[in-house]
Amino acid sequence: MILLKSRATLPIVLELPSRTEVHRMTKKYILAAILLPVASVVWSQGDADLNHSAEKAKKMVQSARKAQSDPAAAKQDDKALLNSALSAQETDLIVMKDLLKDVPADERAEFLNNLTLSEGSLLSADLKALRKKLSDDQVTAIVAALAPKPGAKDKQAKSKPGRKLFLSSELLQGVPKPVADEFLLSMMIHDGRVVSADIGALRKSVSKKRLVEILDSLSEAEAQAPQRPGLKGWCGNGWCDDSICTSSNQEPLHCATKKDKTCWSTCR
Amino acid sequence: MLVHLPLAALFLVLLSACAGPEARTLAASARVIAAADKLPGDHRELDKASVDLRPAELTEARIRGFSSETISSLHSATETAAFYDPGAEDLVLLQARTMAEKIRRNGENKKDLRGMFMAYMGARMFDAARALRVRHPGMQFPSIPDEIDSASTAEPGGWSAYAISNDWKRAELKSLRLDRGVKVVMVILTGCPAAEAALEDLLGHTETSRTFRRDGLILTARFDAEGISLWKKHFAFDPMFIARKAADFPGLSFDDSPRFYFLRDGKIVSDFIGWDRTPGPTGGRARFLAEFKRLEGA
Repeated sequence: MILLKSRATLPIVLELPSRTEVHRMTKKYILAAILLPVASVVWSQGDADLNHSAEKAKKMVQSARKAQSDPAAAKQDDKALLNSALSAQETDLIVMKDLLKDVPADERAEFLNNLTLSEGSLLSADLKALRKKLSDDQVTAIVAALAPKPGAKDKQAKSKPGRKLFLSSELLQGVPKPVADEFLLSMMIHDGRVVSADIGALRKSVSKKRLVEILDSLSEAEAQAPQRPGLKGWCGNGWCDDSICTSSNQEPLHCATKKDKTCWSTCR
Repeated sequence: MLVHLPLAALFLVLLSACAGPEARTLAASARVIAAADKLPGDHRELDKASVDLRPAELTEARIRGFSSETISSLHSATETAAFYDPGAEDLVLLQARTMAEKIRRNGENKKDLRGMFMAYMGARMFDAARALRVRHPGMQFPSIPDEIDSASTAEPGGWSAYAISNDWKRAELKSLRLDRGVKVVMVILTGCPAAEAALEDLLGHTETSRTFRRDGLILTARFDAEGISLWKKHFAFDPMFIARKAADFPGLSFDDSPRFYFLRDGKIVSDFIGWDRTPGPTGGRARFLAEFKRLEGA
C-alpha cells in the first residue's frame, strides 16, 4: 500500500508492480521467507552430518590401512596418544571423560567401575577392559596420566590405620547405571587423587543421605578441619558443594564456583 | 527486481520478530545453560544470555501456556542464571514461577526445592526461604540463622556484610568500611579445602599471621552462617563476614577461593588467586608478604 502511494514521489523507481502483482508477490515472499531458512537449516545440517560421517569414515579407512600396511605408522599414532596424555598430566588436572574419550563405551564403563579407591586416592585399576581394545602404549598413557607425580604423596593427608579400600562400583551401588557412569566420567584427577566431580545427576537420583555417604567415601581420612555439618550445610567433611577444583591461568589448585560440582579436600 | 529485496528483508525481520515467546524462551534458556557450562571464567556471555530470558515478560499466565519441555528448560536456565548472579531478584522470582508450574504439572522434586531455597538465600530473600522451609517440613534445607538483622545503619553500596554470631543463630548487617586505610580481603567459599589450607598456613606463621590479624578480613558471598561460625571457632579469627550483595563490593569477584585482594582506601591495588604452600619465594606466604609490602608503599 505504501509502495503504491509513494509511486509518484519515488524518483528512482523504474517500474513498480500493480496492486495485484504486489499481493501475489507478497504471498511468494511469505512462502519464501518461511521455506528458505528451514531449507537452509535442513541442508546445512545434512551437509554437516554428511561431512562428519565422511570424515569419520575416511579416518577409519586411513587408520585401518595404516595398521595393515604400515605398522610403524600405527605405532606412531599410539606414541602421539601417549604424548598427548602425558602432556595432559603436565597441566595437572585430568578429566576422566577427556582421558578416555577414545575408549569404546562398554570398555570405558568396565574400566571406570573397577577402579580401587581409598580416601580420595586412586589406588589401582583393572586394565583388562582397556587391553581388549587398546594397544599397550595407549593403556600405558592412560595409567601414566592417572598416576601421582613424584613427590605428590607429601601433599596427601595421613591415612588412618585400617584404611578402607573399595571399588568404584561398590561406592555407587544402587545408583542407576547411566548416572553412575556419568559421575565416574566427570571425575577430575590430580596427582592420582579425585579432586572434583559432577554431582548434578547423582543429586537427582539418590537421597541426600546417600549422596553425602558417597562424597564422604571419596574424601580423605584426615578431612580438613573444621568439621562440617554435612547434611545441613553447603559442605561435608572433606568436600564442598557447588564448586569445582581448578587451576586456570597457572594458579595453584583452588575451588571455584560451579553449579552441581563438588570440590574435595584433595584440591590443594 | 530491486524492490523485491527490501520486501524480502522486511518479511524476514517481521518473521524473526514474531517468533513466539515460547520458541524465544527455549532458545534463550539453551544459551544460558551453554554459557554457564563454560564457567568458571568470564561471566559476560552468561550475563548477556540471562538478559534474554526477559523475566518481566514471563508472567505466570504466559508460562502456563508453555510445553513441559520449555518449562523444564526455562527452570534449569533460571536456576542456573540466579545461581551465578545471586543478586538478581527478578531471576529468582522467575525461578519460583517456573518451579510452581513444574510442581503443578509433575509434583514436587527435592532438587528443585533445594535450588529454590539456595536462590532465595542468594538473593537474601530470607522470608521467602523460611516460608519454603515451613511449607516442606520433611526436607533438609541448609541452615539459616533464627534472626537476621538487615535493617542496620549500613549504607547501600557501603561494603555491607553480615556478621555472624558465634552460635550462628544471629546475623547482623554491618558496614565494613574498606574505604579507610590498608586492608586485605580474603574471599572464600566456606568449606573450600584450598582456602582452609591457605588460612592454616597464613595464620600458622608469625609474620603473615600478625599482618592478617591486624589488617585482614574474610568475606564470602554464600550465606552459610553455620560454615562461617565453624571457621571462626576453628581458626580463632573473628572478622569473617557474608557479603550482602556482590555489588556492594565493586571490583571484587566471589568466584574463586581463596582470592586475596589488597586494598588501600577502598581501591584494589593488587590481588592473587590460590595459595601455594611450598615454602620459599614462590610460595603463598612470600607472595602475600610481597603484595602487602607493595600495598604499604602504594
